[in-house]
Amino acid sequence: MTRLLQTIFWSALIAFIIWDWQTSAPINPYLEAPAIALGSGQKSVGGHCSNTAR
Amino acid sequence: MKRLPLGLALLAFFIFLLWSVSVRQSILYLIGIGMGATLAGARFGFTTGWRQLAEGRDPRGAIGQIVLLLVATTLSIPLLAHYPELTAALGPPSFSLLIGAFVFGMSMQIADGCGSGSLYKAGMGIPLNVGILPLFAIGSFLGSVHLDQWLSLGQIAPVNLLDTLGSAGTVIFSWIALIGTGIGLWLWAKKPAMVFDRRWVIGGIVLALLATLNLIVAGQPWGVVYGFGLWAAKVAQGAGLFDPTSNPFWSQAGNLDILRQSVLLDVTSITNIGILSGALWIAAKQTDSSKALTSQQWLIGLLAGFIMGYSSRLAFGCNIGGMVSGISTGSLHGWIWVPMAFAGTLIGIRLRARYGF
Repeated sequence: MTRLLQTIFWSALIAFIIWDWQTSAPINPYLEAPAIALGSGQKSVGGHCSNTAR
Repeated sequence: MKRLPLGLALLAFFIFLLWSVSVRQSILYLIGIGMGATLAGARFGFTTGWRQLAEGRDPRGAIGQIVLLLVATTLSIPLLAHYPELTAALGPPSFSLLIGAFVFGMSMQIADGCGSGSLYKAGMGIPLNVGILPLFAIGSFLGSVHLDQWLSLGQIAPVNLLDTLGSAGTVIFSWIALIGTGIGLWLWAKKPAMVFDRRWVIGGIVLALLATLNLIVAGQPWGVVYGFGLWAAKVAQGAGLFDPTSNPFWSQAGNLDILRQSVLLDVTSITNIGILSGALWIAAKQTDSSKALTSQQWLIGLLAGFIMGYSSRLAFGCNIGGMVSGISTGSLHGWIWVPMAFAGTLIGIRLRARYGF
């Protein structure tokens, strides 16, 4: 049961990631965020559950 | 499951992220794997810890969580004070927070897993949590869609303790509150000599270090819920069921940008995928020990998972984004989140027992 569910779950997740990769805007490597935010001087623009607005 | 092919698959995904997405996201994936392996390996369940505390006056899990908060706060606050590019998990004190945290604390007991707990247990293949995860995502998405209506009930601006108490003051305040709570639990414990458990304490310290690394690399605190809401929002948008431009939350410029780009560029999504991967790695060496559930238990468990996702958005985070990140980055909302969620947990434990979980 657990192994079957694991297989279904991971198959669905991988399918979602592939679908999303194909339908989302292509990644622009020239706009890549710094490897480490600390010391970069650039504020994070990522979403977080605590935020009401960005 | 063999660990070698699994390890190779995780390595291949890491290299893909490094090559095709970004260095930052590949590092965050590794941090997520560490979080998932620690949560699953130490069985670091926030829900279980609270339940053992309330039911058996056993504070070992809660003490492990206090250790986590102590270490994470001590490391994170000075970093936030000195590096303005790092952001705190600032949620607004509001009716939405009070209601959301209470309902989250209640539903997490029925679903037997909070935000991080549902993630790592789904990664391990525990049947109820596998079923809960998609509903948690849908609930989280709907919570974000309705968030402005909940906030209209009443709110004040987020309170950053760093601004009011300063760096040293915030750390001292947090230490006094956390150690005071720990001493209170020790005095209340059924077996005061056994409040420290190696598994919980080490798990708490490792998670605190990884949460701080997440802050250093991502520039923002560890979170879980936003990523799930994003996944459901993308599916709803892709199916033509949702127009983000007509919603107050998703039409904000930052959220619209995140919706347009791949989830692999989203910080919380990539650590969530890492947590699932780390838990899968741990599960590869374990045997199936999950308990069979009745149809009624399945129905109630799945409903609780949906409510948990919805309420976590109203509460500005689950146990991770609201409690761990809120408290460790100096947000007042984290300190409000804990007592409200614990009050909900006391109800949730009774409901859990009533339905035979």
